[in-house]
Amino acid sequence: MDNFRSLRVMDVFKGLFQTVGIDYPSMRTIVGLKLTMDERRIPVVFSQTKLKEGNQFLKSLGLYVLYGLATIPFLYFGDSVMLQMGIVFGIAMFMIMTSLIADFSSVLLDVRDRILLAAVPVDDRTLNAAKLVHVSIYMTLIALSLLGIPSIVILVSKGISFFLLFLVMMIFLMLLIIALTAITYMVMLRVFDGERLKDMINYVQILLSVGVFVGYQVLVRSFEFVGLTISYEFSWWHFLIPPLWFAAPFEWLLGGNTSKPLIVLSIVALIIPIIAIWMYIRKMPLFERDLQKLMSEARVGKQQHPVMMKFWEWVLCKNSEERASFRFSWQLMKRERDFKLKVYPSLGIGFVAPFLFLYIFLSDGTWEDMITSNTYFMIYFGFLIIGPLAMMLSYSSKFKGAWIYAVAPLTSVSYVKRAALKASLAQLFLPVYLLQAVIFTVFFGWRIVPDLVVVLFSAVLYAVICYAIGAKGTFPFSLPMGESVQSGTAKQIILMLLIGVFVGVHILMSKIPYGTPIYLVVIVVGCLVGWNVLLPVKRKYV
Amino acid sequence: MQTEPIISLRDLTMEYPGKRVLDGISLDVFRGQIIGYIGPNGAGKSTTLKILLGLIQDYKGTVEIFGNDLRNEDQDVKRRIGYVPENAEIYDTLTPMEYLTFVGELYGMKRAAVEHKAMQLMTELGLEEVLHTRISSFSKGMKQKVLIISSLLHDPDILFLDEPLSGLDANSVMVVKDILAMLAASGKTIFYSSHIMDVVEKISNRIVLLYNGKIAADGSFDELKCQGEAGSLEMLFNQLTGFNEHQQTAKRFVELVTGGDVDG
Repeated sequence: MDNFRSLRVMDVFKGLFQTVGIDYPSMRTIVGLKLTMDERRIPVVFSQTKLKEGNQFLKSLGLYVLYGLATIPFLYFGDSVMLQMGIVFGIAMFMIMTSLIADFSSVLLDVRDRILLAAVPVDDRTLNAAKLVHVSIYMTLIALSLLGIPSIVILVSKGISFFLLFLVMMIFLMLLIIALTAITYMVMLRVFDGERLKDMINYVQILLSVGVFVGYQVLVRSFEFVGLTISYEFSWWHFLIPPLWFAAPFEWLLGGNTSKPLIVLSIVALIIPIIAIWMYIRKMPLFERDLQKLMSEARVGKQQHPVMMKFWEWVLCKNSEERASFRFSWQLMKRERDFKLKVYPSLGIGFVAPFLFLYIFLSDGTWEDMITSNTYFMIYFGFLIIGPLAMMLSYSSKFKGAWIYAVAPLTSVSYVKRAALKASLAQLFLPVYLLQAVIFTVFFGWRIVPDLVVVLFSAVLYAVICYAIGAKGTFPFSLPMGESVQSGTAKQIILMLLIGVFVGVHILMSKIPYGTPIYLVVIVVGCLVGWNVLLPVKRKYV
Repeated sequence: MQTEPIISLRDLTMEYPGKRVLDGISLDVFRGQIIGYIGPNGAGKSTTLKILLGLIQDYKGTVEIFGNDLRNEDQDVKRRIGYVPENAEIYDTLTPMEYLTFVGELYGMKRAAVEHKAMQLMTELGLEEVLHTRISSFSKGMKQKVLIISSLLHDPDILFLDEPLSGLDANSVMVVKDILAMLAASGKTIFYSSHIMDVVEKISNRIVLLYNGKIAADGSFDELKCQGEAGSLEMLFNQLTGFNEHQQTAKRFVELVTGGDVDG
């Protein structure tokens, strides 16, 4: 437990901590314990890959190094140092802040501290300091891996003064990020109750996953749109963009631009972080008190009347057993955060992907070219939702509740499985697909509607294949969430290749006369056969 | 009095890798009995219950419920059984209403009927306020009540309960005890495991003690008392499981805590 390098670095500042009245040995023990526990935690960045031993966070740092490499080109982008550094700080701020929210909400919002450590004779100041140090250690690590290589590049190519200024600005940026994140949480804790807050955090985590995917696609292409010789001109709204504050000193001190707004921006870059962190430290006790909300969840709920659920239940289910399971699955998917965390990112990606590829097509061709072409087959990228969705159906963080399936007198286990799959498609895939289909119809005209119907039925067939491969005969929501990460990436890749098969056959059929209607019939029959073979309804005599 | 056993175990044996949990258990349970199934931790109580419910299938020996061999997986048998699992395992992101309707419907009840019955039962146990609140925010006792209701919704003939009273407050324990007694009086059979000897002593009309995978004692509390010199079930339990050094253990423990000698 004492073998953390970061703890030894912390020891250097021992005197500093003690002068502000912190019980250093206790704080060191607490931080050490937390680092030990972190070795057993998996960060969001890794949620899609394998479950491994060791501090997953440290391993995920490699990813940040890669992201950091992506910032290097911006250092030489255009002529304006303001713009260069603005972009670099912007990326750093986005990456660090999102990872802080996604991976470290559990640290910032840890209520176990209160229960377990409140009884121990350690004062609040020390406890809070431990929390702050714990978060800072990780932030420093993220910042180092993100900007380590870029800062070496800076040192070599832009000289020592640029490098030193960069370091100072990074420290202030980090102070601002910690304070900003904490203050955001403070406000959220004020406004929302525990359950709602956890939902909000969930959405931030989902946003992060989608943001990274879309962000990089767009970033790569942004070179083409922005001219290369832009000189910096001040506008009042630049005060609202924190990365520009931190870029201002570079333009002022190193670029020799001594206009007044720049100097004001530079001062803001120094003062705001200090004020923010000072506010955070002052308000910390209040924050801790509000944290109690996370524990007290006794909220008297109202009965909900989900219209969509009732509609689809009525349309899609045959008997009461299937209907009961349908509602059950629907409600569970709506509520389970771990499920959402694993599935919603792919929902976002699945929605965006078709448009993203159309957009890429547009950068080479004209709008007229596009809408008369067969690029509407891009809508198949929406299928990216189905694979993870069908695979995740077997998992739940409350999988032990699955005894009910074994105990209940089911006429056929397939009804339960069918209901779960139907509920997942109706709740998550269908809304996304319908929206995509409407937008595509607006783009490409009525001519593509028959094809869109074919795609819909293909999705239904594809889903049952994914589910059969993913679930392997287990009941829905009956396996522990942690195991889901072990269910091979290989399987996911096979399922993705399968999408290619669907697209290929569909494109071929659309080329021959009457191909589409014939294929529609084939695919509908395929659906019926697929569902009945893979999820056969028979009496359960095992 | 009764001729046909409701539950009948013959030579029930269950082995996990490296460990024999149940070692040839034979037991007949009759209508209207409340069986208190006791034994030390890891004695195989929960395993027995899980076998009876069909949750574990690779056992040896025969198990018959209502004269049907369990291996035949008769759904009609399942319909007549209710179960409360240990540790309140439940899909707790749902509300009690949602969960209970789901369970009721799986047992073939009409939705409106389940909803009505669930509401009434919840109200009787003082939970009408939280009918539509997520179970995850409940205390252990409240969860336990929801599970007890879910096990009784379909009016089963046999009730299997694993630690049914854990987490309940004193008043709720009394209510549940009376519910069990009345259910048994109306001809239902109740088979439950527990660690709380006082309760087992009071509400069971038959006690089965499991030790080292075998039945170490079987009979009413009075019958068992006659076998040994023990005055309470707790003492009997200690005696039958060969544990008589609780005082020495306690003494050593306290000595370690205080770092000195204690007068035992």
